[in-house]
Amino acid sequence: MPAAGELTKGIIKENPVFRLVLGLCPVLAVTNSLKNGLGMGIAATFVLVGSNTIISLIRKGIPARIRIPCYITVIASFVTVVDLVMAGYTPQLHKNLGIFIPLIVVNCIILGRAEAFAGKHGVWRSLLDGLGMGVGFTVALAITASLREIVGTGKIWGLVLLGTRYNPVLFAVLSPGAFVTLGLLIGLFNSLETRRNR
Amino acid sequence: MIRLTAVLAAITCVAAFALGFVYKGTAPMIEEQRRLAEEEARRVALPQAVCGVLVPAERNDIEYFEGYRSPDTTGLVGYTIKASAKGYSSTIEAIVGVGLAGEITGMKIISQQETPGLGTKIEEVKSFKSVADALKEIMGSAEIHTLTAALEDTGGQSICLEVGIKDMKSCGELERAIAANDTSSMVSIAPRALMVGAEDSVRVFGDPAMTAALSAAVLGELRGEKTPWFQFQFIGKKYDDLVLVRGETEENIQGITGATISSRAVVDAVKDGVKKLEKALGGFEEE
Repeated sequence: MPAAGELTKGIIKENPVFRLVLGLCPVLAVTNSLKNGLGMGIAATFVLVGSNTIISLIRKGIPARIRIPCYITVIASFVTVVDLVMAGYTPQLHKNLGIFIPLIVVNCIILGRAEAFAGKHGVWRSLLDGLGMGVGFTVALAITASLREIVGTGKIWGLVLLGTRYNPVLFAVLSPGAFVTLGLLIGLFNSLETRRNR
Repeated sequence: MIRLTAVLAAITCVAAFALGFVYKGTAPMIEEQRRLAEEEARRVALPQAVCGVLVPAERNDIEYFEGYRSPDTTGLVGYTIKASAKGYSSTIEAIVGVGLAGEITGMKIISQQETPGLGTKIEEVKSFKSVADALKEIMGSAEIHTLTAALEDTGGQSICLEVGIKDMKSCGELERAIAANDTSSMVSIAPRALMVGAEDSVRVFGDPAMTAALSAAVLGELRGEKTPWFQFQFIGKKYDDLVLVRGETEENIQGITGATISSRAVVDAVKDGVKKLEKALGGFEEE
């Protein structure tokens, strides 16, 4: 696959959320507003790019038997960096995302890409793969969060979108709304893919 | 086996070194954010002093803050103190506000890592109601339709101008919080802004009684809706009333279903704060 393909595959064709159905925990938990969704997406992208790059760099020196603990150590280090930087510079976002920042360590997209891609490919391709998957994850979070915020509050990023006459559907920003929105979006992506394949 | 150990040890050592470096760089900023959060929490805990000042004090080796009604440190209205108790999975830290007679004026949790969805309900607010929503609900009369319309047009951003906030700092902060949909800031700033604006809003409405009622209602509504419901129960209660019970109660504190340990920890933290303050002051004033 050409290098550009590694970058773009994660956005639609192999979108981690809508196509691979991975990393759903933060998708369901933090997409009650676009700001939170984008914050989580950017944090995960940083961890994906960083961990993919480092793991690819040191892959030849890691014995197969201890590769998972080594990968987790690298991933956890990047997550801790994100946690500290967010706590210092974006305290409100840090508070909103709460426990879901440390939980990026066990996000299966990140360990999955380390095991399936970065551990077997060169640095440049691994970096592009991490970036593409991160962007795909961020796009998925942003779409889900936007829909939930608009339907649930009539606003987007705090700006009134549907006017004050709109009666917000609170259900959309509550937990069940996350399942319903995500289900509808996965269905939509599957339907588009099926149509494209025909 | 030695090679496996050596590789893993080398990776963890490099990671530890890198994290130490990042920690050193971010620690001052994290500390500053914590200081700002505590400062804001003190104003939420003792709203009577929002227009005045909070001065650090120490007696009997206990540190606390004295809250004054005016910036020139006249009119002592109460105290704030930092308190903590062990929760289910973390130590819960809170700033507790206490009036002169020992009654709790407010509180704000500044640190907790309780179980999401259960213990974290100690910080759960009643509704998603915004400042503008609260105002609109209270204002039903024809006389104030102009203001309601203005609020609708701007999504609430005209609140400062229309209500007539005197304190421009609060006004600016509130406007920015509303524009950014930063609910937690709105919660802490709005009562302060509205309290400050209570007198000056007379000229907007032309009826002092109505203005006073409106200001009190908005303030009460916002505090009731935006202060986490569990923490709201503490306001006005005294040490002896701080008993955790099941089911709804006016006299005591209703525990959170499924999070009894976290609920008890908050009660213990508040009691700890009141007790420490009592020790520092040598007792509270008689009512």
